[in-house]
Amino acid sequence: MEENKSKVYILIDDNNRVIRVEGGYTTPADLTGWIEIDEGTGDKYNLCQSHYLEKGLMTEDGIYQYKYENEEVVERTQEEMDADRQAIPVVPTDAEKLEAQVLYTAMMTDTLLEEV
Amino acid sequence: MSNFVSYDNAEEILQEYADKIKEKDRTFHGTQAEWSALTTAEKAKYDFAAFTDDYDPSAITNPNLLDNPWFTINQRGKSSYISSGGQIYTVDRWGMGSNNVSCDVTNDIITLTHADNTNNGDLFQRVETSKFKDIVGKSITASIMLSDGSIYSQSGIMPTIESTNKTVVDFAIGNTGYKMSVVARTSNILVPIYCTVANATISIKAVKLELGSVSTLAMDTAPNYATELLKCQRYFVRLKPNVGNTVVGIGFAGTASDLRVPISLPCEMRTTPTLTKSSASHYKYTKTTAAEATTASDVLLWSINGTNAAIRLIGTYDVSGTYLVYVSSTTAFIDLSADL
Repeated sequence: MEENKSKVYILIDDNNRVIRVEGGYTTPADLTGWIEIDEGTGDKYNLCQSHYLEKGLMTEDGIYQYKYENEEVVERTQEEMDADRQAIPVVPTDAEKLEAQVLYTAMMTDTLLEEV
Repeated sequence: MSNFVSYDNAEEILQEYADKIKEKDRTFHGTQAEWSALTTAEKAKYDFAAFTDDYDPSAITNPNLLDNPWFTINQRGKSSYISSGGQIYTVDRWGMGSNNVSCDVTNDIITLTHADNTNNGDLFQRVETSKFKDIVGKSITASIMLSDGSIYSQSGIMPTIESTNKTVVDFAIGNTGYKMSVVARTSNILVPIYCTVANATISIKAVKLELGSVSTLAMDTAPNYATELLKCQRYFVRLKPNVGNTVVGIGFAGTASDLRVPISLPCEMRTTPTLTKSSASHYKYTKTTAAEATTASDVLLWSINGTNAAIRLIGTYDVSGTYLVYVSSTTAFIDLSADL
């Protein structure tokens, strides 16, 4: 009785960042665009989403930690990840949105109060 | 003056008392065969006997070391599973590892149909080695009951588990073309039911793995549903709504794209699970009303801490904002798999 090995697949974006890793019990039904990178048995391969990449797919703040380079999955450098962080658009908070709206309305109605 | 009296015949006196006690003793101390040989009048002299005329050793049943052995737990809910490559799970705890195999579930009966004989395990269960304390050198028995009630079994001695796989039992299941094995491995005990001829089919009612050299499957019935479900949820949990627009939870926006939503699990899972979902479009988030809800672009696992877990809903958020998260469809589900 043989036992099947599970294959591991990754999905990368335009910058070769690994944005998904699946395989084993969570192998996508449609593998178009996925890259097969490894195979084996055990949790690492059957539950590779949470066990294959040692550091996990993302950092706590949602930055991808691995890239596909020379047909291998390797860790991204700190500089590469920092660049991703800086590129994230800053979304204003509700208070900031309200403040901006008040400022805009004041300017349009010429009621802006001068700071004393 | 001494309070002790010395008797030269102390041994005889003690024996006399022992005989008197024995006369009063109404417990039968013999073997089952000796009990059976007694007349009714002789049996009447005894109040207590380890054996009675109704005693039937075969009526004793051993615990089943497999989970979901009667296939009653089917959290994924399908009536048919088809393996088209790789390994998939069917009813809880039972996987399929071969190509060109279908597994149909009807009234808790599993029917396997196999177009070839690639021997990769049409249906298998992996049992954690930690379930087997002090089992080396002991007899184990594997047995299988088909839908017609017929039972096939084989016993073996559990070997020392080393780096190589060791087959403990391996037997033909009647003339179905299928075989059942128990394979001892370092990581787990593998119990496969596999095909040896092309175009074979088999309908299975129950499977058992137990300590001892005799199958007691004939004395069993399906285990309690609630406890069996909880046992299976150590390996797999499907979270699903029973009506549309069901609240998943309140999420906290850790970043502008990432909402973290605490959820509860029924039990601690075997290992960090992987998450699959029906469709991200089923998951909505809003700060105000459902009419202003936004559809998530993805749902991922965030963290696991015992029975407390958190999912990540990918979208566009006000940082540090709180949002209500709900599912919009009764077909929505989140699967957390820690299957072995």
